[in-house]
Formats: sequence, structure tokens, C-alpha cells
Amino acid sequence: MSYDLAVDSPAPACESGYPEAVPLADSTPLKVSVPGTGFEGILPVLLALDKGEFEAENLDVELIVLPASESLPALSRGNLDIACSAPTASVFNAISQGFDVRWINAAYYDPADNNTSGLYVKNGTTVADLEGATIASGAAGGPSDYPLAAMFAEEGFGLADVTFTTLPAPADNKRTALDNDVVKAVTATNTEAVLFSDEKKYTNLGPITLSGEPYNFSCFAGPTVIIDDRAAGVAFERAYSRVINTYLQGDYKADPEVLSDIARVMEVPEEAVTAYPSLTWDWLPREGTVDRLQKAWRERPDILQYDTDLTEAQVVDRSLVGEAHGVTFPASE
Amino acid sequence: MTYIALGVLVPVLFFVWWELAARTGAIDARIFPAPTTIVLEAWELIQAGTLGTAVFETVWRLLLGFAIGAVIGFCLGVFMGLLKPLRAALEPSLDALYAIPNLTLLPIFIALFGFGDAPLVALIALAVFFYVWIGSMTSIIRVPAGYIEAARSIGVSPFSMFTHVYFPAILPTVMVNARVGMVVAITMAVAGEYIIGGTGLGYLIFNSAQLFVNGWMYAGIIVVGVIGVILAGLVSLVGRWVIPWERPRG
Repeated sequence: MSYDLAVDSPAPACESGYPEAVPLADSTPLKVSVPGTGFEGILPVLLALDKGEFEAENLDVELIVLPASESLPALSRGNLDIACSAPTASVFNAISQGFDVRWINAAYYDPADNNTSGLYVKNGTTVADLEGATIASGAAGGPSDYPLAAMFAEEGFGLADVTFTTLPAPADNKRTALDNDVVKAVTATNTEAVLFSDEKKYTNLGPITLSGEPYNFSCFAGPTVIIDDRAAGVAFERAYSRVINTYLQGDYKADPEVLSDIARVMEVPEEAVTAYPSLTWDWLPREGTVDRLQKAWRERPDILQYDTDLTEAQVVDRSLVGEAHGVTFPASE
Repeated sequence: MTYIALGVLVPVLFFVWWELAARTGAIDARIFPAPTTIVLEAWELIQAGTLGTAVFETVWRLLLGFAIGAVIGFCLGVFMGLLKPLRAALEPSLDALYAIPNLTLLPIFIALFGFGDAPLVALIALAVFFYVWIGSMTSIIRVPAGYIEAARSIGVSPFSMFTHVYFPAILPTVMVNARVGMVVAITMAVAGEYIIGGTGLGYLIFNSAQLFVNGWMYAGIIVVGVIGVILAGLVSLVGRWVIPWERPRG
């Protein structure tokens, strides 16, 4: 097994069923929040519930649907044990304010050879044309700022040189806004990219999720599992990783049984699951991601509410996932 | 004067309690920052121009949407109150529309008007429209028949009938409903600005919440409350001016 923390290192390759369940002595309740159930990023949690992987660890997991920013105070105060969400600037702001929250694992990235997420424009528009333009995107301080900043930097401008706006659901509104020149570009996740598949009209200037670095989604833990009951946190990580190693490897959507399970737990039709390719699952947060995210957010005004960047040690805690796999990761700096 | 003092005293006592609770640790000051902290953060937003811009954007949409909704609501309400066939034709459809939460119509307004101010102004106008329309229509219907017969007996023209009988009779109800409409309009403006993100106090509040910047979020919330007090008060003031015979008791 390889546990390389370098960015672009392959996802840790583990056998199906690994790590084996080590049931806790007593049934342990665990409150876990997710931002919604129709999103593939939370599959390890949904499948662990469905397949009895949490029960095998003697964990009594209660799933709570809660937006990320609402989950932070609950985590810190012990009303919630684990929150699964995108690593947004809100988490970093909360940690800088003294909230005891840590980033404890990672989830996935889009495969490099089939990453349909992107910054979509009308044909003929280039990255350079976007300086000073309005772009429809997700909420401010999201992880997509990171690849966007890299994309713009190549053309000599930054995130502060464009205006971001958010549009209401459904995602069709992004296409309408682009078609009517209300915005010059839109960000689209792999689930939204199908709206811009007409190559005669739209161009993808580049992905908004970087392949090879699992930073799009993750779980955050509060003091109840980081400090008070680490055994419960480790048990959670075992079940989480075991699901990834058992059900979410390779082109898992090609397996009819797995596909059926995914559609059922996500409460969506199978076509919605197969509308985009299988993701590459990777539970190990990489070195330097924290710095790169903050560097991108620094480009936009009013995103980070502190002056000195947080260190990786202040944000990431790999000790739970390490203990679940029987490895000790070097302490973050 | 005593009543005004009472109206000021209650929020002052609340903010004093909040300040003390945050300063003494009775409540988590990171989640509920002390009012003085909020004021300082609001001052930062004012100096940066962020708060002033957001207030201008929201108030501009509010006033425009209120004016459009109130005028259309009043005119249609009056005509539907006076003309029974028109009432029969439109009331069921408008009742059905009234039952639909206004915010769910925002995607339709976006499809109709595009992005920017227009769909938000339409949303606000719709919210105000229903309150003023219902107030106007129902109060026209309830004008005592004796007033109308008395006016007819002295041969007043239809225009004079409206200006001297109907208008004074319905105005108190219309002004009360307009005041409620203004408060609902503020709710719509803030919610709409959250959904179509980028500008206004709604965006400031929800964006700050998403970034976990609680001081800014509360600053935005308090400013919205103050705007609500001022604008609802302005509508009441206009009401007292145009219907001096309807001074509230006590």
C-alpha cells in the first residue's frame, strides 16, 4: 500500500474490504452532516449506512442534512461530530476564529482523461477575454477558485479582475445567462456540464476541478471525535475508507449492482449517475492543498478574514485516517 | 413621547443584554458577536463602501418594486371592486396566484425579464401588489350603500363619486395593507438578492454567512431591520398625511 502525500501521487491503493471493521466495545452514536443527499461526494457515507459498514464498527450514525456554514458552530460546540462538505473559505475563517474544527479526510477528483467540469464560454471567447468580465459561479470562497486562479494567472490576471455572480437553480439558468450575454462565462460541475455539450456553441476553457488532487470534498471533525472520542473517529474513517476500497474503485459505474445501489442511496435515476464518468476516489488530503486554496482565495477581496495564512497543521488532521489504516503520517507544518 | 421612549427602550435593553452576554461569555461571541463588535465591523463595511452600495441597491429595488406593485394593485383593486364582471373574471386566478409563495416565481421572472434588477423588482412588486389589491378591492366592496345612495341623490358625477365617496372610504385599509406590503417587500428583496447573488443586502448577509463572517452578517441583518422600520414608518406617515381623519386612537 502506498500513502504518498505529494500532490498528483496516485490515490492510495487498498484491497477491497480494507481496513477491516474493528467494532467499538459499546454502540457509539455519531451525528454526521451532509449538505444534501443527491450529490455523489457523500457516497462513502451513504453507502456505509446502506451496506451496514457503520454498524459493523458499532457506530450508530445519524445523518443530518445541513449546509456547511451552519455545521461549523454545531461541530465546534459538540452538537455535531462530523460534517462532510466542500472545503470552503468558511471552514478556514471558522478555524481562524478559534473553532475546533479539522479537515480529516478527502473524497475524490474527476478523472484527468474524462473531466467534463469546466469554465464554459461561447465559442470564440478565450481566457484572456475574461479579464473584467462577469462569471456565473458557485458561492464565493469555494474550491473552484483554486483552478480558476491558476487558469487566469496564465493570462496575467487574477480572480479580483473578474466579477463573480451566483444564479438560482436550476443550472439551466447558467446556460440562459451565457446565451443572453448576461455573463461571459459560467462554471459547470461535471453534473452540469451536459448543458454545455453542444460543441457548436460552447467551449470549455479548462476544468474547475483539478484531477490528481482530492480537494473538492471532504469531512471535517469537531472536538468530540478529534479529542474526546478518537476511537469513534477512527471507526468512522475505517468505514469511510472501506466503502471507497470496496465499492468505488475503477469504473464502478459500469457495475450494474453498484450503479443500482448508488442511484438508490442518492435517490436519483441511474441515468443521472451515469451522466458523468466514474470519479477517482481518494481519501487522503495532500500536502500543500491548504496553502494553494488560501493563495487562490487571497486573490478575491473579503473572502479570508485573517491576515496570516493558516498552516496545514491548523487545518488538516490526518491522524484519524492514518490510525484507521495503521500508518502514521508525518506531522503537518 | 412616553410611547416613543418605550419603543426605543425595548431594543436598547435587548442590545445591552446581548452586549453583556457576549462580553461575559454567557453566549459564544464568535457566533453572536457583541453589538459593539458588529458596529465596528459595520463601520469597516461603510468605509470600504460595501454597506452603502448594498443599502442603495436594496432600497432602490424596494422603492421601485413597491411603487409598481402599489399602483397596479390599487388600480386593479378599485376596478375589480367597482366592476363585478371584472371581479368574477379575475378574482379566482389572482387568488390562485396569491396562494403561490412569491419566491417560487423568481425563476419565471428570470425567464421573462432576464437577470439583473428586473426580476427582483418584479418579485417585490408582486408581493406588494397582492396586499394593496386585496385591500383596495375588499374595501371598495364594503363601502356602505348609504354613502353611495346619498351621493347619487345629489347627482354627483362618477369621478366625484370616486374622489369624494369611495377614495376616502377605502384609503385607511389601503394604507394599512401598503404598510404590510412594504414589510413583505423587504423580505422578498433580501431573499431574492440571496438567490440572484452578487448585489444588495441579501447577498451581503448570505454571502457573509457562507463565509462564516458573522459580524458582517449581523451588520446586514440589523441594517435590514432599520430599513424596515424607516420604510414602514414612512408609509404610516404618508397614511396619516393623506387620511388625517383616521388618526389611531390612544
